[in-house]
Amino acid sequence: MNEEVAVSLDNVTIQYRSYKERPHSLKESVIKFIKTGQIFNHATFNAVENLSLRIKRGTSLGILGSNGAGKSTLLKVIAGVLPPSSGTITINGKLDCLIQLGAGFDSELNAVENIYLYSALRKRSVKEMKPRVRAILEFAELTEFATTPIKYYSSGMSARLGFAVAMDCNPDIFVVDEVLSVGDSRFRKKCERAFADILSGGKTIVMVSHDMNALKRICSEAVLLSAGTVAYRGTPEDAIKIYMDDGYKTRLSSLKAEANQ
Amino acid sequence: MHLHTSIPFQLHIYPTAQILYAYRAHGDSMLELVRTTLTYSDFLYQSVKRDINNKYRRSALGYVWSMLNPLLMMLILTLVFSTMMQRDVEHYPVFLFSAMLPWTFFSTTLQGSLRSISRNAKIFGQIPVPKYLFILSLTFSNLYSFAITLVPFIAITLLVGHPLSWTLLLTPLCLLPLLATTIGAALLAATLNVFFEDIEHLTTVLIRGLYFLCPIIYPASMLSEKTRIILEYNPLFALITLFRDVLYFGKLPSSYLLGITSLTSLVILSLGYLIFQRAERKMIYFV
Repeated sequence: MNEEVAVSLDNVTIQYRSYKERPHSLKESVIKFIKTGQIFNHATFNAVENLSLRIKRGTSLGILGSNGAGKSTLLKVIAGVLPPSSGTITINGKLDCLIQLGAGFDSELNAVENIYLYSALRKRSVKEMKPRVRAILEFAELTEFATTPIKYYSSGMSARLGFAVAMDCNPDIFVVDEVLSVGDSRFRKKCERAFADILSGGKTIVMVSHDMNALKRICSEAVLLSAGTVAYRGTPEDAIKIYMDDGYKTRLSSLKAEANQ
Repeated sequence: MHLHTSIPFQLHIYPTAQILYAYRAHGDSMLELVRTTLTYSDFLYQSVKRDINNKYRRSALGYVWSMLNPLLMMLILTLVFSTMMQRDVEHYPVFLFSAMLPWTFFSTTLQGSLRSISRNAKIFGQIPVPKYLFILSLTFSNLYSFAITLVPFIAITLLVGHPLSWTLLLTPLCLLPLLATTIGAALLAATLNVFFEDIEHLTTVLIRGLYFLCPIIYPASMLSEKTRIILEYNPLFALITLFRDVLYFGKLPSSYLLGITSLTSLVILSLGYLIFQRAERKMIYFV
């Protein structure tokens, strides 16, 4: 495979089962079986459909799209937590993601304990983390609250901690979902600076955001998702223009028609 | 070199530092499984430590609670049953406690495992980690409680004047089949509960029933020959007997007992893991 490609998705489809139709309990399953003679026939829908995407090393790709377009599903596939129904994913390098800030944090524990727990989930030992804790706390601006259980933190504080811990992992590919919306503007600027550092180091960022200005500032490329497929790929400015356009829907169908030809 | 191995998808690291997500239909080998678990030993340690702290350190009476709970239970049961059992059992509190130790470990782990996967959905929705880790961590925290409860057990034994036998030292050996059975049952219950919400209620009923189907509050000798033969098919029957032999009767467990508990525990563990492993990929869609 090409060394220059950081993330490669080939014909990836993610199929969800209809929540309404699937039996949720043993009782319902038995009833369904008696009624229909089947258990495993559900209506399905494809959150991501036959999607192929190559992301070059060193690019920062923004993913745009309205709610339900498959943005978060796509990120989860890239992050390796959602196995695709069909298709293959190849990741070239160490990947880390921030899909939900503070996922994996325990509210009873303090910042330092949480740093250890969170890192251990990423196979980083306490021994490895010990000398890094101070820098993480400093980046998160939480040094003086290091021994406070994070249930007493404000949402901004725990988000800062989550961001700082993830940044410390120093991944080659960084998958980010809507995390710039947290923190005050000063911290947001700090995050953006950190992103710029990542990018200048030849690393890759894949991010979802509804903050169009942030997308314009950070991303070198953008993908517009619609109904689980790539509707447009190009510069962030163009993608945003299409996305914000009043005639978005009509424009989309014409784009799709072009793509099909 | 396997740096990023997890159960649902194997990340092979190639010389060119390419990581390929290959979603495997079949399970990992035993060796790989152990190796993967070991790479998460730090997480297990941290998570067990957290559970223990939450349980003991953060409550006003701390460790006293963990002693008080079984002691009170023991007291009540002794009040009710000791006169009833007087003819058959000597030193009823010790008799009871010796079976309550493995039973409490088994039942609390099984009950706790039911929600262990959905409770941690946020974690594996972001970081690819093998989901059995959450069940293992739960098992180990309960194992710690088991060890702690041995202290009041010894205290009671001395208090009522029951001879304290050296066979107490065989407890770690008896724990092996108990651990395997518990983990296997917990894996099975946790897996099923992801897909069928009412497994939780079913398991609760099952646990309550098993409590009476095992010789915990009564000696196996009290049962009629016919009933005993039927009840012995329950895999916990032999396990409880094993612990009672060592902790109460102070005798070496028979080779038959050791053999049967080893065999059934391995079968339950393998079965639990196989079913869990087949379903693990799909769990993210259901939690």
